[in-house]
Amino acid sequence: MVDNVLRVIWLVSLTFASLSILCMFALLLRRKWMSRREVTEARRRKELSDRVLAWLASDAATPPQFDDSEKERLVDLVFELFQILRGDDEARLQELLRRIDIADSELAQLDRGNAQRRAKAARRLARLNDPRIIDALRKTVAMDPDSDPRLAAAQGLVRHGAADDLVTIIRDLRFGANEKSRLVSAMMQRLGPDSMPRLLAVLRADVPDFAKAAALHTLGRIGAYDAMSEIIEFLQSPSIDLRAQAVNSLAELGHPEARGAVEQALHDPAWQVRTVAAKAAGRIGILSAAPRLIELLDEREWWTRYQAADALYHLGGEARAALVDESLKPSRRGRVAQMLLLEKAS
Amino acid sequence: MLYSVAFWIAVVVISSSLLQNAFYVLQLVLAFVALRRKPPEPKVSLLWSEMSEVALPIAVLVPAYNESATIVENIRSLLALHYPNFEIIVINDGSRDDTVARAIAAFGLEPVHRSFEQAVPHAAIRGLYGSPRYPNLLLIDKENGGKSDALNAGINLSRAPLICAVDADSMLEADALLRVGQPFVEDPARMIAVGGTIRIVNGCTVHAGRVVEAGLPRQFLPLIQTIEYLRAFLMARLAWSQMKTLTNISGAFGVFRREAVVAVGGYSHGTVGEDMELIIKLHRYMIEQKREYAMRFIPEPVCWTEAPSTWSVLARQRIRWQRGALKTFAKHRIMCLNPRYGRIGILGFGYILIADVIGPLFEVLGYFLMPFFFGIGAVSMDFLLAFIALTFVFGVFISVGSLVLEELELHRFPGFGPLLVLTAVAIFENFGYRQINNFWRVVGYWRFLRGTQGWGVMTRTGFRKA
Repeated sequence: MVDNVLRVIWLVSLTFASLSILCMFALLLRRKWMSRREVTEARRRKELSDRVLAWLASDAATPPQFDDSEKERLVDLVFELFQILRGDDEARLQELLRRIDIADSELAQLDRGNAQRRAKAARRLARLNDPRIIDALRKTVAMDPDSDPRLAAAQGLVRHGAADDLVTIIRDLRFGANEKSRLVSAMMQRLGPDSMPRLLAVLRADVPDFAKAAALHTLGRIGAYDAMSEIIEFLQSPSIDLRAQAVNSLAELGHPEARGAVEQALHDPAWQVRTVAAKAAGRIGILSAAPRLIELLDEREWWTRYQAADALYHLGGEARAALVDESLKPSRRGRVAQMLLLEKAS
Repeated sequence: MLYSVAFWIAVVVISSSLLQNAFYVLQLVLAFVALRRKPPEPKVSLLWSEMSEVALPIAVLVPAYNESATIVENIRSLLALHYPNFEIIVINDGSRDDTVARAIAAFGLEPVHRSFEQAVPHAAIRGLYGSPRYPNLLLIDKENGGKSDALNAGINLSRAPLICAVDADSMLEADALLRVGQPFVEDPARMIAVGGTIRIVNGCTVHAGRVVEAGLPRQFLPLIQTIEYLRAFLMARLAWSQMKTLTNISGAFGVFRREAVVAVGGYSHGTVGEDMELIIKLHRYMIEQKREYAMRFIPEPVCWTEAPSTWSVLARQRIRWQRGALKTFAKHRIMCLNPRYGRIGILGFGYILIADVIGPLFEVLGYFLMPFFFGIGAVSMDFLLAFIALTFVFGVFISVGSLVLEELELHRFPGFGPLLVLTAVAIFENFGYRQINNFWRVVGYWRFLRGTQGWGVMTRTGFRKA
């Protein structure tokens, strides 16, 4: 028994000792090799970067010549520069990419790379012009087994102005019931000012609530006044998030015709909706909401009380005078009014 | 009879050590798998372009107590963070030095008022200060109440949906908020807490509140702690995050959903392990409320902090950590191995039980009992040597494994020399330092049982400037 225990202990010890020694040597050798490679790579990248930046700073229309061996490094550099350059410089970089012709290799990666590489290829293809790209991105959104390449491809379609069927794209993204990636919201916001019909289609479709909330948000952001009646319909939604987002969009639109809907939302059973409604009332300037806002100074949730007080302050005139009156009373209403007035004064 | 008892005691001590080491090996494997699966960290410019419109606002809470020497530089460095929407809330926790005066003078702050709700308890606020020149900076001057109390004040005054707790003596990398905010953008409904890596700034070159060149500490103790931190963050935190059983996010740098923190009553008073306690409270609350939630550790956002460089300060820190872990364990013991709390109850608390509650005691017991049993002839030389070999070999393996993770993931130490030094440290820390560390933990155990309160004094030596 004792011998067996001892044997096991020694065996385990020897195994881990050997593994440790092996790892240490491998680590040191790798670092030795990597250090040299990193220095060389940094130097080459610097040289390349200097050449590209010098060309951008010059008037030369034709980009400099690059070796095939520099291609991958150059592509990486150009896509990094895309994140910070705009206007003419961006257009010249596009031209540079067109000349080195990377569409074939990126399309191949989109098809056969691992998930990370497929997502990277989708992001790159979003910047390239080639008739095959739209179909390839659509196929990725519809068929790719991983969410990152799907989302990157969807964003690529938006960039190419090829996200006509937004409902299908959102369905193809296959977000789970509990996933609410805000990146979908960012994607919708990039659709542009003429996206109202597509966003309305999302509101009418059978898609997850978070996608509808993102569409509502975007409708507000792009100033889609013609969509107001559809937005107002969402005040009847059973989802608190959707009702709150609908009121938020009305506040973004700031149209006086939203008055009735916002006043109705001030009586919503959910405090989250009442809070955004109070904010909307102040923003749109709904003077008739003042009595209800005074009532909301007594709310259980501090954030609702604060937004109601803030709205009264912004409404000005009689509403602000009423807020000042409340601040003189030794009550919960009085305390929130006092604090807000002090905050505004400072 | 005596020999038989001695043999079985030895078996129990060795089994406990084996179990603890088995957990470590499991962590190493899981951390390795997590790193292999993880996509490469996106460039800051890409993150910014993807997140700038949808990033959730963050309130960075910086509790400060007697930080007069570094407060101005630290605030400047925090104000320069790359994030679309954030506010810095510095909370002076009743400092006895001129921390407040220096901050007021440097940033032209003036008294302001801000409405807030007393959502979580804290000591009285003496004044609030702000400036139109720095609209995203707020200074809270309050009565002394400890770190938890200061953070609670910051939580009450913050209006962002996310709060980020940062130590005043730590430095965030410029892109840290962008990276740590990413999981909240990807999964905003479930994500309630995200932690990043803490690394040791001793030996690094610092300019304008930023680490411009990573380097190894020149002193022995901070050098050893470099390996310890790699083990704690790149191995343990990453592995637990992979298993969805994260039981701690460092108090030096963590981002939380404000609503969730308020729901659990904020940071607890009267504890020295407020960071771990908050995470356990969040798990407990979410599970008891049957709410879906997620917590994550991501290795790339880095916060640099100064490590103790003297034995006395390090001892106080380790004793405090042990007391904190035990206090949290005792307070939430109902969760331990309780299937109602799922993975956290079984795996998370199982690990705390073995690594923090039983582990140090048994290991120190082993140091004394094994030679004693050998002395009385109860265990053979073969057995004693086998025990020593097992203990040290496992320790070396885990440390070297952590170094491999660092090399694969972060790769922050440039050149061949630092890696060679760290490899040597990974071996030698097991001979002496590890035993002393376990001794401190036993002292922490003793003080916990005696109900000792307080943090003890942390002495800072400051950063090496460029």
